[in-house]
Amino acid sequence: MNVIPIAYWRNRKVYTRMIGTKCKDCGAEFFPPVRVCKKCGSRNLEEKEMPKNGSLLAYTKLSEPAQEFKEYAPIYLGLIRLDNGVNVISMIADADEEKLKAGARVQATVRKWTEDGKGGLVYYGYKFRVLQ
Amino acid sequence: MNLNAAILGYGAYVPIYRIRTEEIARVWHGGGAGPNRMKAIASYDEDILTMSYESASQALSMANYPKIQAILVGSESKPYAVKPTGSILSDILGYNSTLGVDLEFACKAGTEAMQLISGMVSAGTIDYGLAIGADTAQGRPADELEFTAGSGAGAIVLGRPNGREVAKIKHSVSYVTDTPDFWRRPHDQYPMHLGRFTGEPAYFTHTTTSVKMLFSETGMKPSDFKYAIFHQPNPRFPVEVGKRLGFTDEQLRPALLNDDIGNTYSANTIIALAKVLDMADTGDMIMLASFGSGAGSDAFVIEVNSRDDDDGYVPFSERLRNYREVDYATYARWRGKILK
Repeated sequence: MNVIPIAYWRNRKVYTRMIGTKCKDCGAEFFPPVRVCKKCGSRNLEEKEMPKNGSLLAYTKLSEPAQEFKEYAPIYLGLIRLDNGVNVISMIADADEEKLKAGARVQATVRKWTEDGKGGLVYYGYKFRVLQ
Repeated sequence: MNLNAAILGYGAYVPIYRIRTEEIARVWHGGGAGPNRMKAIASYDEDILTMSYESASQALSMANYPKIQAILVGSESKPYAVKPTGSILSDILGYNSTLGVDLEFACKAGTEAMQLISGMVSAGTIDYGLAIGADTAQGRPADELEFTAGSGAGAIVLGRPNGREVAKIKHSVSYVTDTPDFWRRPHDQYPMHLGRFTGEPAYFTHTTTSVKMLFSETGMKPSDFKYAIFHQPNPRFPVEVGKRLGFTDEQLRPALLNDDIGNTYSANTIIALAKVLDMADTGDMIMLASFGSGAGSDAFVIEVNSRDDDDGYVPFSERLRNYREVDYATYARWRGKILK
């Protein structure tokens, strides 16, 4: 298992609530959060929850994913443009290849990412699914 | 007990995947089917935490995200034996100044959460609370429970009546006894049950007793209600218990779900309530009676007010029409029934 429990815990609001950052000087938004604005260089940033809706730009299918996800193969990874313009790479929940088309509307939910065997922690985080 | 609580929002979530009971019977019995047509099954990445999140998100959105002070999650399929689901959920939903509690009473843990939060709201100790019932029910392979043990979650946001509530919870009673109809010991993966014993001494006795107590305490009778919701362990029991108590098909039919999704355990009656609330009109009275093995039943009197029109809200029955069937091998893989 490559997930470090304390590192996950520190970032849990990023993983489950999609807390990113917004530059208080130029208004640019980032996910995952950054300490320095990539647009204007300001360090004057605040936490900002990302919108949960967006559009699918592209996707890929992993038949041989990393060890933590091996038992869930195949895994679908999507490149998603959120409604605030921020791009996110995310696993796709309930993936149906017929509906994974560029431009498809998607919505974030919370799913199990992986678990550390039978006795370890369960790791939850955002995944996107295609809206029906 | 008299209650002065209101349903401000509700949500119901059932996974998109179904398995036909014909498919289960094909594998274990060479043919036939279970008492229900299909059951809903959680995907490999779903559990009661993720399904609770789904149903709670719907309920909180409908209630316009009030300041929740108690999150009670009823379930018998918790991801952790020790580590509360309520606290994980509070973090994900963004409510940390809250009570976070897990409850268990077989299939009635969800209505226990409703009853407890209704009591706290009525007493004035909290303003708003979130009651959830959720399960990924366990059925031992080849056991008759495997036909019906399904997955789902229901959530209710409760507060005091404010004139814009979805419904008022006016009265509730509970009846419990030590009845060994169904149980699961620590570390066991699947529950044990006593087959036909689960009917008369357990389901029917406790459900009819709680509903008669409700009638006695409120002076109400079956004809006072537009809808009657009973726990649905299979398609037959809720109809039979309803008829014994004097309810009609017209009162019982709108809540029936078991044929399509199976028994969602702690979520069972809350999901059925969501289905009924979707179609109910102002002034309609609802009688709801849960049942939990072990055994007990909670009964409620609920009076419908109204629900603000929300352009984004999709009625539960409409969402149920969108499903995908999987075969037994996929179901067995996802639900941890294959040894590796």
